[in-house]
Amino acid sequence: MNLISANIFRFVGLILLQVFVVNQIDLGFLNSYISLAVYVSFLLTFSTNISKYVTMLVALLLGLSIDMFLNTDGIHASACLFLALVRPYLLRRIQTANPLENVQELTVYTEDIQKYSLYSVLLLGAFFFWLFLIEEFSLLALPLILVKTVLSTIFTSLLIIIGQYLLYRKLKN
Amino acid sequence: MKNLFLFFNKIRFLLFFIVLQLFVFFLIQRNSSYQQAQILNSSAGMSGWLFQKKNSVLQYFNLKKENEILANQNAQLKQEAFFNYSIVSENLIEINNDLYTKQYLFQPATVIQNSTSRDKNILTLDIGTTKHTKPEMGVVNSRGIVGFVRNVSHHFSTVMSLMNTEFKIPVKPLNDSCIGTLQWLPADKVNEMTVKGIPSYFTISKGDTIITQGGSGIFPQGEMVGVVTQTKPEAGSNNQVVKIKTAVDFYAVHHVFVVNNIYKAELDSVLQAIRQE
Repeated sequence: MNLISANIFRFVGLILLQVFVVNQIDLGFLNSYISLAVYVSFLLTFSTNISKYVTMLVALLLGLSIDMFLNTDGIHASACLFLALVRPYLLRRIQTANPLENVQELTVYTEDIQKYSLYSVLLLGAFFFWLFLIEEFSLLALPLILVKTVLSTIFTSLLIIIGQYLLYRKLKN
Repeated sequence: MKNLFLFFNKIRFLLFFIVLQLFVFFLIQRNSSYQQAQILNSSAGMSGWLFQKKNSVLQYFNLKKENEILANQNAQLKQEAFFNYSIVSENLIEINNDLYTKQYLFQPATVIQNSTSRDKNILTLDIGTTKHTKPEMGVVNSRGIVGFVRNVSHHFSTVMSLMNTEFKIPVKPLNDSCIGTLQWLPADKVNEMTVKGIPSYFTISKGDTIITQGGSGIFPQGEMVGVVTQTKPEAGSNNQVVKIKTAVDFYAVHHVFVVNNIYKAELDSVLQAIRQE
């Protein structure tokens, strides 16, 4: 029960943060190259105990809520679904001595920083690539899509990881 | 047969993804043709309400600039007012002047959400069907055209901004009769637009004013669009490409007017009759 209410709180909080704070940031001429999707942090930290099918449905709901606020027609929902598809494979691939499994919340404190950065950069890369691909809907714009993907991934993962250092407490061993 | 079931069992997560993705694609496809109603949009109750709350806080930051704009507009209106005209002759009496009748009604509205960073930018206004806003009404501010209404709910409406790659309307230069199509190309920056389809033999120079042509019935004729910054011949045709700077600053649209063309239905029915022939 506690897990569910904590997740609902983070779901709503991240959407409000995305729409009313992050989207108001004006980057000047970089606006068309960098989009910051901090709300994806919800899917990065989502519990690995939960079935991947449920995770995918939650991703759909999260994406649709963002689309409703930003008038973006469903492209965020599509990209969130793609992220939820890639995530289980990535979790399996990345696990080594300290497996990324059975954690209530996947944060920088539950994993070491290199592994977590790799995990978030790869997932956000997949997310943004799909997002910009659907938005442009043409492979002719591939160079532009790649530039946007790289820039957005770098800045969003920086924001998310710094945010986690600020907001989460270190786990007691 | 057994192998087939095993195969489907193996890829059932992928199938689940594909089914959900098809559903989302259906939404995107429904939304992106702008004649049809959007399913997900910020004129819907909850997000509209939240944007209004946000706006009620943030509007104070723009007050100085907005006051200036409104004061300028007041001055302009005052100049056009009736008491500025002196009587030419005592012998002429105006009896029920029928020469002019009202065609456009202007309804004031406030922009509660605006974006400039995407390909398809959309604004949200704080008026809706309770104030008789309907889709395809034009939106202007004191400087020029802003966009047109796309979706309407009871208290909110979304507006397709000029800064939207799907936006297209006919426009003309102030001193010429040629007509071009105004659009926002993906390569254009914010507050920059392109007019295409004007033949090369019309000379259009830097600094010329571009106004609406009024043919679509969305905007009144002669509404300000922007100022020419650059012209060049279009490759492979006899037309020229005209780059303009918009009169409206899309980083700062706040107070706008929704234009209600009283004769829009009439115009549409005439155009419809031509199409059916």
